[in-house]
Amino acid sequence: MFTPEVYLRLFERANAWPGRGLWMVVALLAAVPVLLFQPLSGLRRLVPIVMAAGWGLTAAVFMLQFYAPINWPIGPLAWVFALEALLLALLALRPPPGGIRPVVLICWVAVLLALSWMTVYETGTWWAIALPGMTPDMTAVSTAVLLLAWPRRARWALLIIPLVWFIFSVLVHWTLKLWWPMVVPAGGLAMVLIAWAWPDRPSQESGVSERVY
Amino acid sequence: MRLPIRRRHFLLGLAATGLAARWPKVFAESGDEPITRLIPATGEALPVIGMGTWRTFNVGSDPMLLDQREQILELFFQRGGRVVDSSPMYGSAEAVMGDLLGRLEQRDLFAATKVWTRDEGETLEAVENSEALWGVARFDLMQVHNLLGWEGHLETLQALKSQGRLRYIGVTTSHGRRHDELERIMTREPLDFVQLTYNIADRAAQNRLLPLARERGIAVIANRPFQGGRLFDRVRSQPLPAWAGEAGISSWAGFFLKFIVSHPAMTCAIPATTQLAHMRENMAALYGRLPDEAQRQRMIDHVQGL
Repeated sequence: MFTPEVYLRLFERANAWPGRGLWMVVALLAAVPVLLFQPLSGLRRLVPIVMAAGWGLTAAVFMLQFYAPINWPIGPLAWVFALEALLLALLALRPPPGGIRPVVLICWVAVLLALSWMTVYETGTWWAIALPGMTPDMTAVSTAVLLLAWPRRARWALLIIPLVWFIFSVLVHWTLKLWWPMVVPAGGLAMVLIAWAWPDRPSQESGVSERVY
Repeated sequence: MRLPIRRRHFLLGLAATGLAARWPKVFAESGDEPITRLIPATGEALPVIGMGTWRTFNVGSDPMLLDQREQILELFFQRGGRVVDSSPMYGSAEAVMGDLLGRLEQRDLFAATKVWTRDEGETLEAVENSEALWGVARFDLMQVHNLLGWEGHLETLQALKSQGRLRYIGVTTSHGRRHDELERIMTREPLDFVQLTYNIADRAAQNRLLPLARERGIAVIANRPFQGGRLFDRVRSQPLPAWAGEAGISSWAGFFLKFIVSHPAMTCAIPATTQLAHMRENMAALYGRLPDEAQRQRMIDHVQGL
């Protein structure tokens, strides 16, 4: 095991990698809502590809490079993240999601931003911000949220790996007594359960994508 | 010219020589020499305060934290510490130790680690892997971690010791677990060391294991000397008792550590820390007086009364 200080330093180090890597992640994040609002279905198909890139980046940088040396289960779990990236890439073969109401999207972004700041609140430095696409909890949470836009049939299998991760992560945070940062995987766990139960909209059930805003 | 040496002068000189020969002992009483205990198997002296690495030295490749841990380790050696204990189970702690030992020029290390694998055929591989990580030619002490596969590992470790590849061998437990099994092993096997949990709150080991260690000539290392930090929570904001100074104690860390190492069977306690101030307090327990039996009982009563 390791100390809370060592764990929280992982976020600062990941955000410093490789100098401008942080901006690459921010650009990917900004691309998701932009793509979701594109009228062309071909562009909206890119959303799961961007998500897959986030899972891959999280596995390669945060998990394998920084986290695995201090926590041996993270090595195998990084490969599980790579598998999720592959599954998300395959999701791009399905019809893209329909439109999302702007108010829903704004709520999602607000929740994700609040969750991103938990590590900032705990450490007192902006450099510890936990970004989706770079840190595993936030990558998994944002994926669970975005998957609501897909039909249940397509989404349930993609929620298994986030569920396993959140259980593991809650246990790690519990052991470290990091209560504020634990809100992220605990919220993610709730999100996965919601996403499993979330009903399809009629247009999703028929597999036809539709813009509703 | 003959010097006028009379019998009285000669006897005075003899007395002074005798006193000088005893000077280190007198010095130790005043607190300037580290308190040591002998390893029963060889009579080698070890400082009674060592250093553990569980959690604290698992910092991966973080440059900032590596620098901080270097300062901790440097201070430990400067204050007379020798025994550093680790395990492959502690994540990157062994690799970090290897890195930091390479940075420090002056060190008097007693390197102790553990074999931690269920596969009893992997003992040699585990030892060699730890040697490579620490960057040491051989370990002073190799222990079987938490009795995991102890029968097969001990057989190989014994052979490695016979070949001069290891200096001492032992087994470990923690949290007061598997004491019955440990007792059986201590009775049957030729161990140099055992490592177990012993602190002012967890004293189960003193019923059978510590007397057995004395009887069998086995050195004892105490892990979890602060009960994983819970002892400090217990005494938080409480002042030290006024009589603590009589027992050579100036901090709560010293209180807990001196309680442990004042047990006659105890060879060494291995507190872990990430703070320089805490390391200073821990290493202060290496000097000065130790509590006697009556003071030890008073210490127990005081902590139980909090």
